[in-house]
Amino acid sequence: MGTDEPIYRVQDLVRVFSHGPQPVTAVDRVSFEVPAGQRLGIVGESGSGKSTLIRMMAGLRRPSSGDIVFRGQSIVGRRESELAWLRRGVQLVFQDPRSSLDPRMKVADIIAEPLRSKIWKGTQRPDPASRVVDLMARVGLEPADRNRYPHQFSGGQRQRIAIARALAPSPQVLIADEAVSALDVSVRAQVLNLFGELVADQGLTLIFVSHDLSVVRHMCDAVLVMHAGRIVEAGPIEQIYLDPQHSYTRQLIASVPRLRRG
Amino acid sequence: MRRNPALLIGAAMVALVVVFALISAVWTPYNPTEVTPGRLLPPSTAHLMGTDGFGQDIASRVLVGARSCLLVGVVAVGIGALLGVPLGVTAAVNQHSWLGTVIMRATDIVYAFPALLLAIILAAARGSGSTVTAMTAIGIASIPAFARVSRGAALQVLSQDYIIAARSAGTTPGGIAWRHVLPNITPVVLVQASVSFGLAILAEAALSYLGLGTPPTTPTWGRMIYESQPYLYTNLNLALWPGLFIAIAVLGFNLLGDGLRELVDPTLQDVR
Amino acid sequence: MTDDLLTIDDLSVRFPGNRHPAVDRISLRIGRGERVGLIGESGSGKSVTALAVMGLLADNAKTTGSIRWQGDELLGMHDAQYSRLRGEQISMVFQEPMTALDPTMRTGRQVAEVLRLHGGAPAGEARSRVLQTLAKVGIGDPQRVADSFPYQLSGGQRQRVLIAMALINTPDLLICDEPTTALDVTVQARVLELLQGGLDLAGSALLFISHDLAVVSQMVDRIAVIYEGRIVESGTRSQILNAPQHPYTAGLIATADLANVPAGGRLPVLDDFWKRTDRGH
Repeated sequence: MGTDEPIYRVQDLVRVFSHGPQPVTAVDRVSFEVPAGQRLGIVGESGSGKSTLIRMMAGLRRPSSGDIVFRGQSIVGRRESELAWLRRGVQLVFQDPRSSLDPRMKVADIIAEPLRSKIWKGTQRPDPASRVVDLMARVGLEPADRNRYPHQFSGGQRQRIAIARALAPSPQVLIADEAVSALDVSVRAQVLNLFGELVADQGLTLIFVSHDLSVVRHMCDAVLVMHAGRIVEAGPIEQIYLDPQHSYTRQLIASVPRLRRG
Repeated sequence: MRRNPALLIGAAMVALVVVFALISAVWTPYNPTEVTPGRLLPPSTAHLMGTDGFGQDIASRVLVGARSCLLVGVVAVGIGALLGVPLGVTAAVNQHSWLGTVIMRATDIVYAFPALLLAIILAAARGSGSTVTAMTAIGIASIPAFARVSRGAALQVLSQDYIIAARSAGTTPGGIAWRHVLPNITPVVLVQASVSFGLAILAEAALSYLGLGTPPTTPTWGRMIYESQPYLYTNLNLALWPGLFIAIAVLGFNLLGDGLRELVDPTLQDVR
Repeated sequence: MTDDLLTIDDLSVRFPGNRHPAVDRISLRIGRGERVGLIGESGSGKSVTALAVMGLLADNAKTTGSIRWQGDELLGMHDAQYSRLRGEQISMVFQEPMTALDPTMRTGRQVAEVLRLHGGAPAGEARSRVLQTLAKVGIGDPQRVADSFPYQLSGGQRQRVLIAMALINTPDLLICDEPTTALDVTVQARVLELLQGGLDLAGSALLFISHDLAVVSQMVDRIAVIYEGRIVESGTRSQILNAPQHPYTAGLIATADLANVPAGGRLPVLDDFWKRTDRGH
């Protein structure tokens, strides 16, 4: 694999849900590439398909058709047992800090879960106990608190626990799914700074999903704007922000609440 | 006591029943099945709870009856939970496939059979009723309740983000069921267990009453109530004691279930 | 002074088992037609304050102080009397539209219920009033929405129904507690716009509660900042946002505006301005 190979290549990806009375096309022929080390934003609202898209990229949902190539290998159509390398390489941070941590597990066990599963067959498994301490310190939590339960932490701290868990297997890609949307605005900055530091320190590829374009503008180099399952606009963030081409993008930019000082 | 009164009161009541059962294994004031001429005697220092229509000492029979009560309750709840909970969790995990549907429809069918009917069928198959047929019948009849309740709770748990996180961490479906689903449905299962225990005791009483349960020679609280029927208007004593202890056992297990549920909930361990 | 609708004086609310009061001696005044914002983080006591005004606190809450509504003391008022105020003179819009609506009742009926409870319309007129109000809050197809169940509507539509319910009796005061926090950003913008319009038409005063300073600043003329149950600063919007006196307020302002920092740079955090007590964040 050459150094120019994108870490992700998504081709003609489609996902249709046929549960309800009418089939819903959540993702409608999406194609794009993510260079290694890029900070990519995916912006769109509920129903835009962004959550379904990233779950497919993380191998947690099967596409209806199309291909996803991660580090040169296709991940579509594979059995779970063949995806251990994907699990080690791509991790998610979810939106709701209340439901993304098992309320009955101690924080140490939550963070160590990726280190105790069967994805380490054939490779060196890091020592869970010491890794937990390192990770907690890295995300700004007190390692002495590792035997506590999630409800004993605040929302911002719980997101840090979730980030520590995501970093445990030393992934190459971190996917943040509305990771700050459920936090108070005043707490957001801390968690965003943490993302920024970690991505820079460890050379991670960051895929940051949000409905808030101002957050994406701060965090990312490039952005995909999704609407009704399609990518309606894509490109470098400043260009999109200053010169939006698509009406939906313009609507998104106009909707960001601004501080009215006057 | 203020923190968890249900647990303590429930435990005390259950302990009483357990103590009775244990004592009866080594000693009873009189032989519980010894017929004596002293029939229908009121409570006295000689017979603390009086005697019944055959002159048998009621207190001794109550002690021995505690054994059957616990045995039936534990076995029935045991069968119900050990079979019902895995069925419910499996149905939840396979919610969208045929397996989930088949499991729930099968439990619906069993649900439709009252324990009584099952006991009659089993008794007929064996030739006559016995403790084992009674326990088995009640146990099978408890399975659907556990399956339903487990499935509902498991579905709730499975919709949480931490389950997706577990998959992303590489945890197997079995690992997810064991490490995430079961601990989080425990409170619900405990409540169901305490309810089912109470129902099992009552069901056993009904079966004994109808002669479908334990053989006539074994005193059970249900049988004692059956035998007290002819004397209900004259010697309330005979029905009172077994009835009282059935009530204590059922209430005790219900409270214990509530108390245990609070105890195992980590979110309630904090006092700010 | 005589134009004051709501006067909160030295209000404190304590819950058993908690060391600190949820609300600690706060005072606030809202005049007729005034728009006031209460800004604070989760757990600051802002929602408890709103519930105290509405008389909706749990039975085990201990309240002291005074809440006067047009001269009458609300604390200790019997629930029967309170019910006459709620929905008619003081209305509230909550954060979660899905749980605030009865899932088994069509939305039109729910809006009509609020109307009828306060004798707002003679029989037969209720439906047209409901449809009118739904149209006023920007629902494009009032007939269809009125005949739908909550689950058939989008989050934005549900929130608009809640606003319709709150405004249909033209209350003197509307309290909104994080009304748009659960909505997508384009829907939020639309709902806030409609809320402004609805308030203009009804002439109601507004108490807008949120953790999002940018949103609050769009809706109000005066701002009070609440932290750990206490109001640390209050003043006009311009005063607060341009010349904050308290470091916590300065911190809230700095963290509200991501655009001030070059992309990828370190964002200012609350701790830069105000060190918290050890309640943990």
